[in-house]
Amino acid sequence: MIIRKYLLVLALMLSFGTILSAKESPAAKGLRLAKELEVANRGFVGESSEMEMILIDAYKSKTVRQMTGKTMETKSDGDKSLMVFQNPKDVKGTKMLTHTHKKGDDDQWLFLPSLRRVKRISSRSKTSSFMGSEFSYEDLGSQEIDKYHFKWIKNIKSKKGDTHYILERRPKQKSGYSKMLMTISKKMMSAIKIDYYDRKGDLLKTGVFGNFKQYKVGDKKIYRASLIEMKNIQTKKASVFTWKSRKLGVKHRSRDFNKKSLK
Amino acid sequence: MKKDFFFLYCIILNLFPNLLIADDLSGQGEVRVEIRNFLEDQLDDTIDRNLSVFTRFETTYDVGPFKHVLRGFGRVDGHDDDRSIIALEDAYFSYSLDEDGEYVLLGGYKTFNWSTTEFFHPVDVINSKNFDSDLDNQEKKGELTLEFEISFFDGVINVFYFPKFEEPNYPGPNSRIGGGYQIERAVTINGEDTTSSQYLTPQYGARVTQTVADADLSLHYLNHIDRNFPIIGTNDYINSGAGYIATTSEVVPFYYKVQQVGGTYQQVLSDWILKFEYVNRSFDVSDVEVLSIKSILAGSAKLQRPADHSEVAIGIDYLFHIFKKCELNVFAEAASILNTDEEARAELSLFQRDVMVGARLAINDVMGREFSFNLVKDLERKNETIINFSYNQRVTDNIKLNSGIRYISAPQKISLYKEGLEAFDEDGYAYFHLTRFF
Repeated sequence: MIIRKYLLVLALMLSFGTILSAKESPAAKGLRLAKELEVANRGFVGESSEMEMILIDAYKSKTVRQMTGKTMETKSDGDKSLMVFQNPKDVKGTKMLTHTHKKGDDDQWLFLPSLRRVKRISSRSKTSSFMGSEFSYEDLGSQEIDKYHFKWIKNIKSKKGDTHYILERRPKQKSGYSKMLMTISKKMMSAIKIDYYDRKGDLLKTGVFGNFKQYKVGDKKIYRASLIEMKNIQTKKASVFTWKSRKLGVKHRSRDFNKKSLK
Repeated sequence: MKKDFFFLYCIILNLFPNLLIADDLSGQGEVRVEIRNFLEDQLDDTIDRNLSVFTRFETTYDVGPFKHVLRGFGRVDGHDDDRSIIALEDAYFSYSLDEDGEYVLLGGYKTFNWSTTEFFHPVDVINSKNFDSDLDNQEKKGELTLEFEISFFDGVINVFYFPKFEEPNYPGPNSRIGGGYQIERAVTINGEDTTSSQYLTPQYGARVTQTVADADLSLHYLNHIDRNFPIIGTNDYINSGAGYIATTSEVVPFYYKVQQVGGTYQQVLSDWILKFEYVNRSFDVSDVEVLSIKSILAGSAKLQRPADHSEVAIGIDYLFHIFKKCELNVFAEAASILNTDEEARAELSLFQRDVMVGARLAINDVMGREFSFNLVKDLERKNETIINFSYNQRVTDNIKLNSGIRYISAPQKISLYKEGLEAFDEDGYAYFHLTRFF
């Protein structure tokens, strides 16, 4: 009888332990969701687009910047991208080639058309302001999950009933930010808002993603935001980045992303 | 004559926007007003002020395997006719032999930039330069080129054939950055022939570039007519027994055949970028020597050809972020000519053993405001210093201003002639450029 009781208690303890071990930690859940996000956004093959950025100062005066860009997905490493500046005219023809890596610093080269010179730039420049805007180069580049620590914070319901995940993302490498709080739409598996915290831990800026469009590449459906509005909380300045005539599934030639292609 | 060409050029430039109808054709250009004011030298013959108009245009046609680039510039100076220039930088066609563009043929005029360093450029030698332009960023003339390119992994092999020597452009006799001579048409030395004004001469080379992890590496070989180390002098002389005596007052730049082997290395080391350039130059010993003007002025009147030598430059670069959005880029470079003596080094280059430290502060605002500063100091020759300070910003999206001050101090050390930078002593100037881009 006593043995039966002991066995019952033991069985209950084992079951409870199994339940406890099945409960995912916030870090594990954050990483899992980040991986799901990555899987949902992979498979675009290649992308090309025209981009426009409106810089809005604290007095609401506006300045327009224009670029063209293309990105090529690679199987073994991070994406390769090429951006060509079109406006303002003094930087027209300046090209920036980026080879992102899943691990380690990205490689970046800048082509200066007036000098016909290709210049390697340090990965430190990724924290620089992009063309004087509220965006930095790292905001717009490919963001490999191995470069961040993730933590799931909570789930919330939108007014339309969509589930949104709130994830915290902390850079493992040098970055302009101490952390980012990402709001991810479960339906689109895409970030819809990111709060960026500066190195001191203060809220620096907020990026709101909008005008989502669905693209079909093969059998896969991929959502992409066509607009990001970045508001700097500290300076009250803002920048709006928009993508025009964006195409996914474009098969680029690998030679278009070589250093020699810059010239 | 040059002005006639320039007016024709301006007409083409004005017609140019109308030509940009085809989708595959893109173009851009600039028109710039340049004001340059030197420190007064109290000499009536020299021109202390320049007021010039500079224009540059570029069109690119890129469709399928074909690419065509046309790019050139022109300058008219209201105070110095000799400063007016019209030059073709690029005018070439290229054709990809395969779909991936791994094999490319190119023909036409082309501008090269092989340099990795910011100020000293030992490797950047292919194109002839306009020596009447900025000392640290001399304008280049396109080189007639036939090129075959093969891509492999993250690297490229280029094989070049250059059929023609392109003549460099020299300042006029009244220019503050010239030697005070009327420089005659350049002569390319070919063995015993010191009279060649026909510039068709076979030149060739090859270059390999490769990216390995965080580093870019290149190696090259060139067998061509050198563009940077001419002997300025004359081939009209007699040997009086007591020495050589020039029989003409004409001053001619003589250019010699050279074999150059060298390379560049660029490495990202955490937040630093390390840069390195090295070349070795061997001049053809079968080429005849000429009487150099320096030796005449020095009283030794000797026959010369450029001395064989090596040249090295190293540099480091670091980027700071300050005041939220501002970028402060600090850099330091050193350059030296090796494998020759001090006298030969001084004859070969203004920067024969020099260091440069500098900084660039980019405010990173809408107007693109930027300050830069650098100081160049000769480590071997006493009291030779250059200080540059510049400021530039956008006025509108299409208009930009650049301004700056250059200070040069290199007092003459011996009374007979000016060596190297001494020729520019007290030739500092202030400049202001206003550029309209289109």
